[in-house]
Amino acid sequence: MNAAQKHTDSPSLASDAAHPSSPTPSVLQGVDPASSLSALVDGEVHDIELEHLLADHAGERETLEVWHSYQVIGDVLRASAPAVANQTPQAFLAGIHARLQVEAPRVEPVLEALVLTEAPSTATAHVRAPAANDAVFRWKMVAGLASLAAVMAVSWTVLGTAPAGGSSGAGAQMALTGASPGMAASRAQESTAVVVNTPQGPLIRDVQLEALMAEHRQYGGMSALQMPAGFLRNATYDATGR
Amino acid sequence: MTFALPLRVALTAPVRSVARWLPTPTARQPWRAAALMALVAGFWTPLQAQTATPTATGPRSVNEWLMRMHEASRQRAYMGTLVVSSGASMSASRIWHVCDGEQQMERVDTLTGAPRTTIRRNNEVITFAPDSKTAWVEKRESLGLFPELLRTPSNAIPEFYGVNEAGTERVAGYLADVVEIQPKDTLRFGFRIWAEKKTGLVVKLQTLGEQGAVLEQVAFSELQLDAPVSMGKLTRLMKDTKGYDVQRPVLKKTTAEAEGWRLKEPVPGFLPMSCHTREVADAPAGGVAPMQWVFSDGLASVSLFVEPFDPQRHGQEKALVTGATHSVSRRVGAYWLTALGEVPTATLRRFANALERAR
Repeated sequence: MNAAQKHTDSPSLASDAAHPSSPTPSVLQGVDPASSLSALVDGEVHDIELEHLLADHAGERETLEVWHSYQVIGDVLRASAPAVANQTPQAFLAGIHARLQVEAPRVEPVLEALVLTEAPSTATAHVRAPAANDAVFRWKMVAGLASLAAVMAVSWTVLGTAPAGGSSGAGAQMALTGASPGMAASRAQESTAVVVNTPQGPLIRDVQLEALMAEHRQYGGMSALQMPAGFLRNATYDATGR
Repeated sequence: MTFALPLRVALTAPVRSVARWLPTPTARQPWRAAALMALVAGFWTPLQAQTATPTATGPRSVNEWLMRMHEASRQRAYMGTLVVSSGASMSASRIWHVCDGEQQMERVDTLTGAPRTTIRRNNEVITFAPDSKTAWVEKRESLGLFPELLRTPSNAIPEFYGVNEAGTERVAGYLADVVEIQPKDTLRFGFRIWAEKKTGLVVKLQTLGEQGAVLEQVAFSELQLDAPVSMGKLTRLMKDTKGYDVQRPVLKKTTAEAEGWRLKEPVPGFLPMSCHTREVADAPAGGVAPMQWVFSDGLASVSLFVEPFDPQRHGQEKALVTGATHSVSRRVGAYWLTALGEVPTATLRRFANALERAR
């Protein structure tokens, strides 16, 4: 099975960068289980694939572990719920390091295939091209650094949210929040703002608030723009308020 | 089958999830984003080209622009179709407007949602709901306040808003000056206003959030200036409540002090404008209608609604957004506060945190 192949339906930013021209496997044949699992986490798996996945790997301890890892990673990045790790952060890190060792060589074939774009069409990602050149080596360096950076980012988060962390954990969490203001902002918005828009009807499904909103429009429109535009705007709106 | 966890794949799972959180339309279809960018760029180019032509009269101040817009609606007769777009929803209405120099009359017929006819003579307003055969008669104090306030020294608009003329554009068939009213701090939203070139009539208005995002817009899609609108006919319509159940909501004027409330510290630029309670026939359980304390900075307004806390009706504290209107609710002792207004959530939070019981 080709572990380097990606799930066809879910090209991600990272995979696009790493496999710009990797041969596209059909959905039905030769799907990498980890890719499928990853897609499943994102709710992007086809019914047929799901069947295959369940038939082949359900109940396997490894599969379950991988599934759990994905959930933890997702939880940590979304920070929607406290991440529940089934292993210590140290073990998690060690695991990632170990996998990184195993993983590193795999980058190679794909990248070589990338360089050999003029290769005959029968070449697959697994055909090893002879003699890498400098460009390929640079690519390897870039890929290696990128994955290392990603590992650092993920493990940083995991360590930061580990319950044992105490004050240092809080510090790490703060550092993380500081490092990604965009994400933090969107998260804050997600947790507090509930926007409900229907095509024509009420804007918010909260009767009490709707009534207050109508009152605000009727009696609270204290603005220099009230006469030129505010009143017309409110009267146009009002239909939903009473 | 070998099943070593491929790290790259493991990492793409969260990366994909993150991509979903990004504001870009779709990370996985970059060409679509690119097409959108091209489209936006296309819209902007003519706008910038027009910006280059300065107005002959020289720049007006914020107050001068606001006065001009205000006066325009006082001296013109017009009819048209007004479209209000807020968030994903869109409402439209048919407008008739007439003024004889003193009396100003207006009729608004909704074209979307429930049918409503609103007729206004100066600050007297009647709203007809033909489906329920109900009519509401009320006085809107807010309509009489401006522009007197613009002339008084307490007018602090220039202190909190700057103005920028951004060329001319055509709206509803008329050439209009584009005027940007920009907030000087983050406690209020900005506005982009299209004022018809000859008269100054507001033909389009956008409320702008952070980074100039359009939160809400009001625009005439079709407009006939100097239309033959009959004031007599509107007056007759206003009086014709036959067959309607006429309701007269009564506002009980009060003060926040009298109700036992104060702000620990003021929110910069916002002054208290009015405070009232309302007599409600079908009042909720407690029988007490919320107190409404209204603040304004001259352009944006905020209502603080305070009512006794009722665990049945008041759940968790929350913040909601619809178009430009934001709201924040919070429990204050035995009371429930809902702060509502066309201002950023942060501004409402400042109000919510500043409100306290005075006795």
